[in-house]
Amino acid sequence: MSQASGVLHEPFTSGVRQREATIFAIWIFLASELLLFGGMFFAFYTYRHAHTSGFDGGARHTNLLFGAINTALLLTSSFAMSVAGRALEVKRAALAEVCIWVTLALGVGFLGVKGLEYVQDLHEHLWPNTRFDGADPASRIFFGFYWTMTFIHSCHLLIGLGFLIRLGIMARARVLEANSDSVETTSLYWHLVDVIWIMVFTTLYLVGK
Amino acid sequence: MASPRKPPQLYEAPSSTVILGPALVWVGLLALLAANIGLTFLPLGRAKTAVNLGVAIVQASLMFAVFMRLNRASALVKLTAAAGLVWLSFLFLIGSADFLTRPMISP
Repeated sequence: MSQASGVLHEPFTSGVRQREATIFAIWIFLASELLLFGGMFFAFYTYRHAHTSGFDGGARHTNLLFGAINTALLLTSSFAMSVAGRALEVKRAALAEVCIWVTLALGVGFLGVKGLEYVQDLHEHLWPNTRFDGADPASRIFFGFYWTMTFIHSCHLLIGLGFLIRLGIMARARVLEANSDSVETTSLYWHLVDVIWIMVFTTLYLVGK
Repeated sequence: MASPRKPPQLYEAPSSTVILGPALVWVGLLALLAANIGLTFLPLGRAKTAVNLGVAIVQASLMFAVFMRLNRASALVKLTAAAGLVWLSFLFLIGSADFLTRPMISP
């Protein structure tokens, strides 16, 4: 990997130092994201420990097919993003650009499938309000977590799509190599969003089935 | 005379392959996804939660190590990532303290 940034910004006097600071900073941010989602997972498993049958009843209502398709989409998008970063290092900017657009398309596909699932969930009255369609009241708590975790994750994914569009525009303008730090930080952010989805999928779609 | 200071290296070596390495990990991740879904339908009893989460943690570790390149990262980057996990463990440990000790206080 190229160890120096393409374009030097204030206050750095060295590309190597700038890159070091950038990667260090994004990892600090990712660690704080781990704590945000970690708190949600901790609360989920604490409540599940207290209301196991209600939570498992809720999990049986989640659509495994939609969840599995979305997981495969995000794993593939991470593969494409990983290739994009590596391609840029060996000066294959065209391959990097293709991979960035593929990652973007797969991310949009994820949100599309998630939207279809949300429509189905609402049709089945799985929104945790007074018309909630669940026999056990604890299932309502499960769906409180379901909507919160999947919505916050989708917001993160939407932000990631914004960063990918920015990279795509840079690639079109042939300035991607000069902004290799942006590719690296976007890539790390995107992979973390995928890691979080792996845990969300396992927690909401698999554990209670 | 002291030798000039070596510049910091965030990754120890350049990528050996552009597509093959990530492709192998991608196939592995999809295989683990299929395995985790299959395990959901096996009668594993109380162990099922741990098994499902175990497979997910292996997937996450692969992502961290290869896609996020912690396997080739500098000590600084590895330490920063580890710090996130340490703080996460504090969250789980201190958060669990009430549930773990409540039976001792009010049986």
